[in-house]
Amino acid sequence: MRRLTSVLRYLRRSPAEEDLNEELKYHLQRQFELHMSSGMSESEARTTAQKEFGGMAQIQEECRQARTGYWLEAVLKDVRFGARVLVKEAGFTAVVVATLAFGIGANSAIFTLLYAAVLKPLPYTEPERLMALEASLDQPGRGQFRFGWSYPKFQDLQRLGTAYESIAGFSEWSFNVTGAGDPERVDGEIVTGSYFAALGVKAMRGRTFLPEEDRTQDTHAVITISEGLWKRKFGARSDIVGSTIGINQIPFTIVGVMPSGFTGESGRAEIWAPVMMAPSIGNNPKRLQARMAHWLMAFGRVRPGVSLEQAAADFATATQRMEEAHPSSPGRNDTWSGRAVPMMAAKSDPVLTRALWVLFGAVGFVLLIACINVATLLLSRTIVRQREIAIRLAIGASRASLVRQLLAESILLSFAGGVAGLGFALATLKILALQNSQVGDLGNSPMIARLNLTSLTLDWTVLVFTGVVSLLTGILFGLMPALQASRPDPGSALKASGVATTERRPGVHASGLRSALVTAQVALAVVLVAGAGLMLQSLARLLATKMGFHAENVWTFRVVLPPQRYNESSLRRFHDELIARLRSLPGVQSASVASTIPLSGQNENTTGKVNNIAEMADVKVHMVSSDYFQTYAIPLIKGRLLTDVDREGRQRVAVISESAARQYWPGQDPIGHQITLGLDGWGRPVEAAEIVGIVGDVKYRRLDTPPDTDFYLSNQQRPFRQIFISLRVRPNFELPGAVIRDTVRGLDAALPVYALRSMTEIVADSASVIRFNSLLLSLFAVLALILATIGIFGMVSYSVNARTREMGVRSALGASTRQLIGLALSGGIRAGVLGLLIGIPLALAGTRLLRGLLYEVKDGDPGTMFGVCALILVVTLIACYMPARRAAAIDPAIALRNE
Amino acid sequence: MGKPIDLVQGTLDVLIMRSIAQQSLHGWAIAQRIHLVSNEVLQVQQGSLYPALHRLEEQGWIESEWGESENNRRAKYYSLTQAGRKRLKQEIDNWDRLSSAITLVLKKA
Repeated sequence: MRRLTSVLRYLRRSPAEEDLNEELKYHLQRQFELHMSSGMSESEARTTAQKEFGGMAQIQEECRQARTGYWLEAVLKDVRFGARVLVKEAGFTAVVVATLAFGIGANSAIFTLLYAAVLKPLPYTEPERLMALEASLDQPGRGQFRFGWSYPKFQDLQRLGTAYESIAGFSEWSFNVTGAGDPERVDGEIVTGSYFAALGVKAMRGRTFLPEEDRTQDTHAVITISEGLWKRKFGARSDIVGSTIGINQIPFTIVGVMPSGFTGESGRAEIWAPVMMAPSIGNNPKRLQARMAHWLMAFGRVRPGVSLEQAAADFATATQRMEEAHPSSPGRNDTWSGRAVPMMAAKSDPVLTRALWVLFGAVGFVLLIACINVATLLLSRTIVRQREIAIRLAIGASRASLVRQLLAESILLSFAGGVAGLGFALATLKILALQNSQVGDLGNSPMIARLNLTSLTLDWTVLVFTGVVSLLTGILFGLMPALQASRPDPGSALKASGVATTERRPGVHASGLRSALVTAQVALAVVLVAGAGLMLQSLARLLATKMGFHAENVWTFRVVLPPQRYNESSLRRFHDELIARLRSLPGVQSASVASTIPLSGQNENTTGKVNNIAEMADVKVHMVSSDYFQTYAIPLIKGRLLTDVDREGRQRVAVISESAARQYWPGQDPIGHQITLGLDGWGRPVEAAEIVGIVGDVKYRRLDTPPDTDFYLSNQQRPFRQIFISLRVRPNFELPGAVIRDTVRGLDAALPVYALRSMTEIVADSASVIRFNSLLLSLFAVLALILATIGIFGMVSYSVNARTREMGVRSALGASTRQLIGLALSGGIRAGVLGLLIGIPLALAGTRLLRGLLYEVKDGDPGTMFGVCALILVVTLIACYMPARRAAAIDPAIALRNE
Repeated sequence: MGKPIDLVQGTLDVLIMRSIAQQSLHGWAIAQRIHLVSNEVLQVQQGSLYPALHRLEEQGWIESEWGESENNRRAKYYSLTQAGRKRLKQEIDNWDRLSSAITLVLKKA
């Protein structure tokens, strides 16, 4: 408090200087008068008084030091002085600021990503009290599966979960929106009544759902929309509340607009509909009664006063009791259980989180390397200023004030670097966003959102982070040179100024320290280069992996045919017409309709039976039209593909993948066998079909997971509603999206076309995490290498400079050029090799952290390590090249003379 | 008067505070007072006095005010704060204990 008042006093007072002056002068005057009155002459009195007083300046200085205001004043003075010095040495400043900009900027960029994906608190009230409620099924012999909840089960949970003050459910959903501009497919959620309250979110306009809207099925067709949708589709009109739009052909009233930035638990919702309307929207009247239809995700807000662990235990018992009352799979040895996980943890993608932390460590290394570079630069410069510093020490400046002034310069530099670094960070993020607009895994549970790179901004958290990092960096690299420079040895420094000395003088040249620093730089660079090398190899292997289909020249889009307007026969007619029309477009070679496409993660997961006897678990079913295999150039292995012959009314047929054949018909020929496929839990009839062909494996989920056992049924025999349409076009043919939309619109004007993408884009996207990692790690490795090279270069060239005289002498005494070069480079080469020796074990330890992120590459891959060694040695040699030439060119006469 | 005895900083502080306990004085007057009351044994140097005064003020034991001196000129007067009074008492007690102890040792040991 005292400090504060004296600082305030400082800030608003009249200059304390004048006060002090006046006070001391008064004392002087009184002494003078005293002496006068004791008989001295005027001049004698004055001289005596002044002598008694001593150094006025010194006293003033001491008085100043006694005050806090002084501290502030001194710091400001240092900063102003430091700024002048730095502006004068613009070249030096520029180099340092650039180096720091890369180091600090890279850290800021990764921090932005880390914050957005991992650290940012959820935008709900008291998010730490929210827990995700998951269900899992443990089937011995088959594995563990994560599930959601059915509506009846959800109602049980609400009753039994006493540790939670509210439990809410939601499901991701896509809606065909009509009645406001072009028909559009909008992502949203179907939510239970407690959803908004549990999250603690209120509508910005209008309201959220009322309790009576959560009671009876198929009454109250109300929805809320997001702020984004309101702006985009409704022009932000003020009468939005109460207006109607069509959702899947059903009129709904908009009752509220959600606040800006709220995208629901799924992270991309723009419309929210009440769960009671789900049967109408999905055209499934039994949806809310089917106990085994697990379509809802659930979460709960823990009651105040209850700990999270208690709530989790409570939930586990609640689900147990529920199972006991209504067993989900009676007679089987399955274990259905539930668990509660803090929502923040449930929402993070573990692979992406790990990747980001690894990158954060990597940029930390880069920053360290940059700091070392800057520290050595500063060390070199303080040698030049040794004279000035020595004089200041000699006339009485305290070491502390000198260190403080040098530190002020360093911190100025690092803040300048921080500001420039923010620019670098922005640029890096923009470049990343060009590569992949989203990073993360497809096919994950909707709770885990992908990291959206295009929506990243540098908000205040990043600025604070950058500020703190800049400050710490400045202290880190500035402290050592400042301490070095202000060593109380002014005598020898004054004498030695300008005279070249050998390297044996510690304190002034600090060569041992320098080579240690450079060695550290090399070691750190080795670790980064090794990591980058491994990631790049993973990426190469991943992209070269066999996907089972040809992605070039294939385009795909999606359409959803609402049940209100399309029954089974009109579905079939639509599919046929659409394929015919698309096929007739110029440039189109083949067109097909299917329930899935490769790498989409979409499939119908079910079980089945072979010949009504043997059980098949984990069967993936796809409905495809006859041209599907041609469109994707999926090879036929045996038998035949599906053709136009396989229509409604003919025998049901199926085609299976190689893996399916291997797994369920080991050593036999599956062709001709009868299978049945059951889609339990959804109340749909069981399918029987005969196998007519085997095709090659295709990756439907991710590039880095092995293919599943796939079964293909004819789309004609079992038409699907949410279809993917795929087209293969002539090579180098540009298919305009407008043509596709027009074709579809020609068949049905109210049908939105969405997700129009090329297959090559989808393939690129599916490797997004590894690409992202590789790009960033490579960037950092390159930065690290450049900085380390500069470090070695700097050290060796400085050494050559400092030893010019010595080498001149040696040359005159008969040393050969080669010996001179050897002498000059020994330090540099030693640093490089030593750095390598230290770095390799560090790299082996460090790359273990990459384990979950690599693909088909071991973390200690010897090939990569070997490459790293070679690269570092080459880089060291390059760094030493120029100084070596200079050493070789030393003319003894000039060297000896030029002192 | 013998050679001026060097005063340890802490001692100077307590002497200053004692001098202004009864009455506010300006810097010169404080030095004179200490000199006189000590029978001219203690001579406080300006180089120590003013830094000490400023430091004491900084620490909150004394406070200052500009006023008119006896010869009608502006001078800075110092007085004890409440906290300063308490501290003075503490310091005097400490000094008594210390000096008695030292005297004992010197006389007896």
